Amino acid sequence: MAATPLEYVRVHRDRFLEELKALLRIPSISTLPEHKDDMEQAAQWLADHIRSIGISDVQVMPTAGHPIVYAEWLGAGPDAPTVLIYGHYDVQPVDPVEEWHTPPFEPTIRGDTLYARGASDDKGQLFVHLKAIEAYLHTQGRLPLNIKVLLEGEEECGSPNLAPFIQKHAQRLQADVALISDTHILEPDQPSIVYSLRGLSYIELTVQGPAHDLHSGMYGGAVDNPLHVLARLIAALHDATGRCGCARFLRRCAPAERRGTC
Amino acid sequence: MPGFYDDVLPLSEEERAELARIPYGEAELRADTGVPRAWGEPGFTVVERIGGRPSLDVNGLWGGFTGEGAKTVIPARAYAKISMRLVPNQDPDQVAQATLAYLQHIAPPTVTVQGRIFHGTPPAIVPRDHPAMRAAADAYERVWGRRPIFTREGGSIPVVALFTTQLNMPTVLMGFGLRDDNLHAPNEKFYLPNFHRGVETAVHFFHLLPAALKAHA
Ligand SMILES: [Zn+2]
Repeated sequence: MAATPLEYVRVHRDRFLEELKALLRIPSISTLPEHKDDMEQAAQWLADHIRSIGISDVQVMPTAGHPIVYAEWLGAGPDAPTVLIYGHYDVQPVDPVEEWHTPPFEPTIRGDTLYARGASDDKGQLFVHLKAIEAYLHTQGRLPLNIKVLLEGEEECGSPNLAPFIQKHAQRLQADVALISDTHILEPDQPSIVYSLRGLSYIELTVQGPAHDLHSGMYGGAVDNPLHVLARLIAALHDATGRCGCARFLRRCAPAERRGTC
Repeated sequence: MPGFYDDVLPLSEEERAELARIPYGEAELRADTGVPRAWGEPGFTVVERIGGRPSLDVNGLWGGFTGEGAKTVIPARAYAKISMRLVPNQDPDQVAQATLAYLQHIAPPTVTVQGRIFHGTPPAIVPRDHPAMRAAADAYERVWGRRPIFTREGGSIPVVALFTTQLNMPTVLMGFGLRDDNLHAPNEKFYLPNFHRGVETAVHFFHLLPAALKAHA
């Protein structure tokens, strides 16, 4: 009998892997409509599994797209902190399938490595937390903190229904810290923690010259060409060294000048 | 392009020293990408350019005649798609608008320039000395026997921004995958020793977090 959570996870390693393989066998590809039932099945599998590890408060919550699996264990009480664990149970398509050495939805262990679609992104990584929760609940009957689990089925298609879900359930999702395992570490034996992510802006630009395409024999040399202008505009966005834009813009970003101001 | 760098949070010396521990530089970049030489903002390392500095890339450029043979056309329109990777504390909407305004400003009067701004994702940062980050670092260290290195990711994880903006909570990104896990590609994999270490790390984290947060409060 395992007395501590750590002993428990060491004793049950093989079973954890068998369970993870069962989850990986469900082809929950969120972007392909023919896998809609598989999405439901994966959500249901996770809800059942979460119940089996000792959390009874689990729901498969519908969204305008694929469902969200939500669970909470608040037995540590209002004075204990709460962590919100996020993961996603949907996976990417498997094309080109002929390049797989073993079928993507038949999880296979070769050497020290488990091969399957979703093995690390993100079924395998979200499963880590479910097993840690199980280790506490099965050895001590409780966790040292409150846990909320939010498992999404649309991460690989841009999470279109996550923002409205979070907005709607903001009160319920309150926690001290969110915890996500969906990134990588530097080396197998050198762990790392990502503490900053870049954001994204996106523009589609249209340069309009004449009202319609023109014949260069009739108008060439007398009207400006939108392709030439666009090339000049784009060339103005960087200098030759790789700095963005004009001098003024560079001055503003010099670290020595900005230090201490933010 | 006035305004683009206005809100860029500078990298501190201490942060740069931490990022310098990451074993990735010009040689690795060349090997990964096949480029003959690295490129980017002078005064910053490859790791800093990717994780700690903003960037701008043209993703596509089209217009006019590109078919077989010769067609003597002056096209009515030319198009470009432009993405910008942003760092704290840049605001995606503001940067997109400033960039568009700049392009319109420098365009000659012989054309009109219009832009469509897509929905952006804000950058995210969690202080490395946040108690939850310290608890996470301690948890890794207990399992791996090595202190984790703090890194900056060049990409975006939109849910992190959602948690920050809508729920006002910091996110600990406790990854266990490896760089070559073939995400989104054939033969996706998980290095199993780190699956098991991951479970143990989470066990430690759950144990360490309450005390860390309490000590902070
Ligand atoms: Zn993922």
